Parts: sequence; structure tokens; C-alpha cells
Amino acid sequence: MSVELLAPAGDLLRLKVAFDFGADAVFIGGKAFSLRARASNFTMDDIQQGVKIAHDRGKKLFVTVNIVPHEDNFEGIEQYLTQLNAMGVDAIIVASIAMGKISKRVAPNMEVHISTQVSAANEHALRFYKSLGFDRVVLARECSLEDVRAMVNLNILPIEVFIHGGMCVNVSGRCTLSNHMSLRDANRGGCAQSCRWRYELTSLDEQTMISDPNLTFTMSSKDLNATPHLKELLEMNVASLKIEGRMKSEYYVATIVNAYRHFIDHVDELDEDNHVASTLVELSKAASRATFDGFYKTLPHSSSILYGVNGGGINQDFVGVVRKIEGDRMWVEVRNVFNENDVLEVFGPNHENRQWIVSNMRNEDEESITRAYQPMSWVSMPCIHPIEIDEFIRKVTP
Amino acid sequence: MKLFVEVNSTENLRLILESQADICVIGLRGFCGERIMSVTFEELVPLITIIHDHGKEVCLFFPYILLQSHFKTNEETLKQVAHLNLDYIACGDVGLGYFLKQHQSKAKLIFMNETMIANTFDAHTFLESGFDLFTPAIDITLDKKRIFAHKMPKQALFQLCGTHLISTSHRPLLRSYYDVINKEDGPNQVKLKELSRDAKYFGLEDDQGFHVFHDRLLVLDDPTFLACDYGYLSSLFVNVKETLLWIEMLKNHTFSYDTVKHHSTLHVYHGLEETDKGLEAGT
Repeated sequence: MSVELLAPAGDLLRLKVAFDFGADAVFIGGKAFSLRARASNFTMDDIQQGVKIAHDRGKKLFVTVNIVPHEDNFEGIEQYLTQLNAMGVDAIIVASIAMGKISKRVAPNMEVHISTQVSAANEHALRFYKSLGFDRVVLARECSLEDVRAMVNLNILPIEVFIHGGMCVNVSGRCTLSNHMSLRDANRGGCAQSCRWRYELTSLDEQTMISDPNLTFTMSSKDLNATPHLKELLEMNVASLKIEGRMKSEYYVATIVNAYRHFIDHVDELDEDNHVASTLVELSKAASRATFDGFYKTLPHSSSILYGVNGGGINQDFVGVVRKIEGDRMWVEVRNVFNENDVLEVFGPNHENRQWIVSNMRNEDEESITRAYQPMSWVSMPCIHPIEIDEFIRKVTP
Repeated sequence: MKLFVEVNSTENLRLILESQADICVIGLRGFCGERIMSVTFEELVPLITIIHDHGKEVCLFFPYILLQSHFKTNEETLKQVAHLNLDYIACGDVGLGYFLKQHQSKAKLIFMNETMIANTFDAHTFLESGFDLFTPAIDITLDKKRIFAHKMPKQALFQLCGTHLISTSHRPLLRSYYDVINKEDGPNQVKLKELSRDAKYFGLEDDQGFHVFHDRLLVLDDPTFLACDYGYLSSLFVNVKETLLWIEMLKNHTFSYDTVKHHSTLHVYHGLEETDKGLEAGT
């Protein structure tokens, strides 16, 4: 069984990028019933287009229906699921077993995947969800490699695990810090990430200060990066390897999907240590918070928490996308500033990364320029070879 | 109304056995951290007898998720738990409930999870799947809790009074922090204060991870809830004398927000008035 590489997408552009760079399936959120309310999310027309893009390439599209619904959130659910089914959506991801059962009744062609929000962590939870007729379980992120292996070997249900992206510091779905601290419902798409705030610690009677004023207490988790354990996960035949991040940029999606695609496709050809090292280098080129390897090998300790750091992870290395090739010149759609003599690197799904020094740039009026700075404008420059349309270009930091 | 009361220590147990509580909630060592009083399997059997001899029932509470390896290591013990003379088993992990049902547990099974059942459709699905009772999500508004009380008064188990869990992490977050600031002797129970506001919370770290509780007592004194078949009192971070007073007030029909507030050293609230910003937040 070949493993599925499952990527996130916040809109059609990122969906297409995820497929272009090697995702086997993409998960998206609709405008309703989905967490990540701040992701741009898909209209019904977008979802229809997304299904077509996926199926034209022989790939799959999943839709998150993963809120923990309140009584009044069921209004319109049957119609919504029926529409998704009619569009050809391959699966929905649910946190509500009632919604899953409704889907099985009104949308029988769609698989129902149980979200990590229900924190399934043992074989009996899998048996429970199987007894309800569901098709796949996304495991709790607290599971170790041995936990995953044991459950995969029992072959109860196909198993999906996270390999990259944001981590809840708390057990997913069982945290309401945001509800209390900002009145935003974490389990219905409004998580304010209150865990990442700073807290003072005192004794219970508040008479003794415990925390260090120079380094306050926080529950801010580093992101997950499971590369060191990827080979083991591949060997144990999990059904799907999932990348988190429906709110991430197209560059992030391209870089992360490309790196994991490359790892999976070449896992048997390359020396594992070097393969892991080169993949980590590739992944580090995407904007990201600091990472750790999750619960796969050991219980995460202080090295899994970001003390004294506010977020981070924005970089401006992504400078453009190849949009057109005319003779010996290529047109690049600009995203971030770059200059003549900068070292750039192009990457895409079909070739190894290629580097060159920028020279002989022209703007859309065919005027010679030394600096490209206007986002979404096009500049041309001599082609490098090989090159393909829609490949991404980033700046190589000296 | 049958009243479940959490037992936090041997001393508390003695007092609660003398009270009008109907059901004593205790834990099995290795499965509940320091959330409630826990005993070994060997200690559990005679303890059940003692509690029954006092005319009360026993609820064994498993508050947290069970990882596959932990479950497997303890599977034989859990099979034996299914056949003990327990009256109720409360499961925070759906897999444990399913396992106990498959092993013909004699006890009534409660799906006891702070967040997962926020509507009656999910509640019915859990009941159809073998659970006998369930706890509605704690952080839904009073109006939404009333829907459960009206529609499912015999199966919904409401927390009527006490502190309540608002997050649980499998990571040792306190110990990790103490390591970073070189504080080897830091306590495992703390008060957390948001730096941006004055809101405060209780923190507890045990062998199950780090757990955050609200520092205000949740009080449901509405007749709708008091008319249900079951009620629950949680007593972590609370003086047992207060817990005993709640039991007395509930049994004497004098339980109210104001009386709890009058006798408590903690702040009191009715629960969140609004948590409906989720779907709209940031869009």
C-alpha cells in the first residue's frame, strides 16, 4: 500500500500548488462547519473546482466538517453534506459522531474520517469508530511510534498521522483556554491560541512568586516536524501522512509538500541520515516556528516549548513564481524584493533545485531594471535550464 | 437527584461517607493522576465494599485519554475492572468505554468528557453506542445546557458545583519550565495569572500531564438542572467542608448561587455566558 501525502489548502491557489508539488490528497475547509475560521476557506463553487482539479489529476479532496457542533449548528448540515457528496468530495473530516452518522446516511459516497479533535489514541477507540461505520481515524498527536505501529498492525481502520505543522500543547479537542480567556470557541474555529500567552505562576495562596520574571511561563508549543521518524512511519504502512496548516502561504505549502514528496519517493534510494538531513534543510526554507519531533519517540519536555519567543517564522525568501517562458527568457511573477546579483534558487516537483545569479532583468515595459520589488508584477530574465511554468523561486541566504 | 461527589483524600472519604452524597467518585492509580483520590486495584475491591456498606454507590473515574501502550499494559486489570461490583464507570476516553462494554461491564458507563458532547444529537449517538449517561460539554452557555436538561434529564450528568478542567496537556509543562529556570523544587500545584489581564487559573501537574482548572466555582442552581436525575460535585482545590455544605444544601433544596458564594473562599460564576464567537471570529 502506498502512503498518501495529505496537504492543507486555504484557497484554490494553494490547493493547486499542493497538488503541483506532490500531494496525493488535499484537505480544505468550507465556509461552514469547519475549524480554522480565520483561514479564507472555500465557497461551494470553489469546492466544486477543487474536486475537478483533484480528480483530473487522479487525486483526492477532503473537506473538514470538524467543529464540535452546538445544538443550533446542525441547521443545513444535511443539505451541505448532500451537496459535497454530489460534487464528488472524497471524504469529510468530522469531530462529531452525529455529523458523521448523518453523512453516512445522506452522503454515502463520501468517506468519513474521524478528526484528531476526538483524540483517538488506542485500538478500542478505533473499534468504536469502526462500529459506527466510519472509514479512517486521524490519531491523537500524543501517540508514540510504538502506539501507531501497534494500531496499524491491528488493521482495524486506516490510520492517518500528523507529520508536520502546528501542535496543540493540550490534548486536541479538550482545551477551552480560548473560550475562557477570549470568549472564542476553540472547538468551533475561534481558537485564540491562549496557550501561547505568558503567565505568572504563584503558590495557590498567591503569596509566593514561583515564575521567573525574566522568563515567564508559557504553554507555547513548537511545531511538529516528524522527518527523523518518517522512514519508520513509511515502513509501518500508515494510510496517510498529514501536513497541518490551512492558513499557511502558498510558498509554505509548496516547500513543505515538495520536501516530503521527495523524501517519500526516494526513501529506498538514499542513505537515511543524509536524506533526513537534506529534508530538514529543505523544510527549514519555509516560514515556520521552531520545530520538534512530537511525541513519536519520547514525551516532549522543555525543548518542545517556545519560552521567551513571540511566534516568529516570517521570512521573505520566497521571491516569485515562473509564469511564462518566451524563447530564452522567463517571466517571473514577483512576490518579494530581489536584486541583480542575488543568488536565487528555483524548485519544483520534477527537478532538483537549481541556483543562479540574477542578471539582465527587464520589467513589463521591457525596460532594463536592477531591482524587482512590486508584488505581483512580472519581470523577465534569462532562462535557466531546466525550467517549468509554476515553479517557485526563492532567495538563497548567504 | 442522585449526587456524585468526588473524593480527594482518605480523610475526605470518611466525611463524604457520613454525608448525604449518593455516589462516591474515586480513581484507579495510574489512570487519574491527582485529579481525585486514587487506589490500587487491590485496594479498590475492599474499598467498594466499605462504600457500599455505607449505603452509597461507587463511581470509578478515568478522566484522561489512554494511549495504546498504556492501555495494552493494563488491559488485564481493565478487564477485571469490568467485572467488579462497581456501580458506575466514568470514561474520558471513548475507547475505554467501548472496551468495558465489550467485556460486559456490570457498571453503568458514563461518557465524561468536558468538550465532546455539545449537542443532543451527539449525546443520543453515544447513548445508542452503549453509554448509559453522559456529561454535556461544560463550556456551552446556560441556555444550551438547558436543552440537555429538558430533552435528556435522565441521562445528562451536570456538574452542579465545583472547579472545572479547562485544558489538559500530556506534557509535563511545569516540570519543563522549572528545568528551564533551574527551580528544582517547584510545586506541582500553582496559580496561573494571565499577564495581560488579572484572570487566574489553577494548574496541576501529575503523572498524566499538566491540567488547568478555572479558579472560579461553577454553580448551576437553575431548577431545570436540579430537576435532573443526576448531579455532580467536583472538589479539587476546594475545602471539603464546602463540599459537604453543597451536599447538604442540594439535599435540603437550599442550594443556590448566593448561598454557595456566601460560604466560599473562591469566586463563583454560572459558567460562560457566551462562547459563540468561534464561527465568526476573525472572518
